[in-house]
Amino acid sequence: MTREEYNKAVETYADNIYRFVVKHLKNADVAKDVVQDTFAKVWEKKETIDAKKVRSYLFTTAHHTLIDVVRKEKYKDGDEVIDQHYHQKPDSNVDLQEILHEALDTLPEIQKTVVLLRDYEGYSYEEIGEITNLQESQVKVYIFRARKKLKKYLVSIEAIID
Amino acid sequence: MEKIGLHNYEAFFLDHLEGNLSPQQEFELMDFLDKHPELKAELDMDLDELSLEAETVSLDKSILKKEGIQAEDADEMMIASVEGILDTQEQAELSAYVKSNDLQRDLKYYQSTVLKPNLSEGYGNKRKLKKRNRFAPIFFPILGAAAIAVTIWSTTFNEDAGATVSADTAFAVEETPVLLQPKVMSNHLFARAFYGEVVFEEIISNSIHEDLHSTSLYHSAPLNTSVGSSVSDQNKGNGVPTLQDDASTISGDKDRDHHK
Repeated sequence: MTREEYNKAVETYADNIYRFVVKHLKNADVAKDVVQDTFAKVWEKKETIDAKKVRSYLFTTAHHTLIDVVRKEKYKDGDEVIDQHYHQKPDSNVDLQEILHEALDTLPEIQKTVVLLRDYEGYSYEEIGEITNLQESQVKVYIFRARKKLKKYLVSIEAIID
Repeated sequence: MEKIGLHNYEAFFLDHLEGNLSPQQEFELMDFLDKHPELKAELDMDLDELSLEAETVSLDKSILKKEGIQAEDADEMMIASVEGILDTQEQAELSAYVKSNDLQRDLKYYQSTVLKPNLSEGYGNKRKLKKRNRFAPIFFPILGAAAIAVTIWSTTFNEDAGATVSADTAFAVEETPVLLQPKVMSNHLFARAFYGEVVFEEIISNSIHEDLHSTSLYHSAPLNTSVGSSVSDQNKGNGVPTLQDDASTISGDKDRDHHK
């Protein structure tokens, strides 16, 4: 991958990586650090990376970096807050996507990861498997479980879906 | 196969019964039985008596069959629909099932579980993630030396800031933009340049930026402008000599000759 291709990847994917990371960490500063770290790692390996596969490489690197950060820092804040809201009926003005993103925080990290990669990035089960180092069938199971939980959350708070 | 004997005749008997012996082996077998007639009884047994017959069993296969959508599969099917992995027939079956079981609301809830990114949320300034061409290391000492020289030069000229450029030396020159004003690059930038931290584009963009925003440093005067006019006047109060000042000074003699 050339410098130009790398810079193009920054322009194209930095925001996507950031959104993916910040949904996990709930901390903009730490998320930016992870993005920076991710691109730094990719830059170091640019000689071995095919520019056509850089997106996948970026998400794989971001995922691994994310896991390290979560393990080290144990960013689990938000769970308690979510629990408090769990059975509260939301304000009718609250956007469904906001509620859904709250519900996302109730999912285990791996389910959150696969759903985000699926919904935000439109990755196939196979591609998600490559990024997360999971079997394709495992990815599918995690996504199905995640959707069941998300639906359960929406039903529990009687979210308005019409 | 080895030759028939008392240690292996059973295998030959079995192969004979199953018809697997060659004519030569059959001949050997007969010869063997002539020698051991007591074993003939073993060979005369009926194989059919030994075969097993499958029992007749009945199983209600309907419990194993999957016809249409089962209640326990409904959620899976609805999620699969949201995931877009059902074929046309499965999708049609699901639609019918949802309608007949009044599951429209459940399906809608599942359809609502698809997350959408907030596109206004982003990393922000991507410049610091990008990589730019740096000066080759060989230029670092040159750049550093140039930085020091220009700084000294700048300081020296600043001391004369109040002085008016004499009429003899203040010549207007052909329309030429100021190349680089000494204070254009800050000391900080020079320091960074000295240590090789400044990239080429940064210096250039910095210079251009300063040029564009320092219109007073851009001298545009036609040739043959009367001596002692524009340059010194424009620089009055500015206190900052420019490369153009230097250029005019240096080329003063030539221009003077020309005007003569």
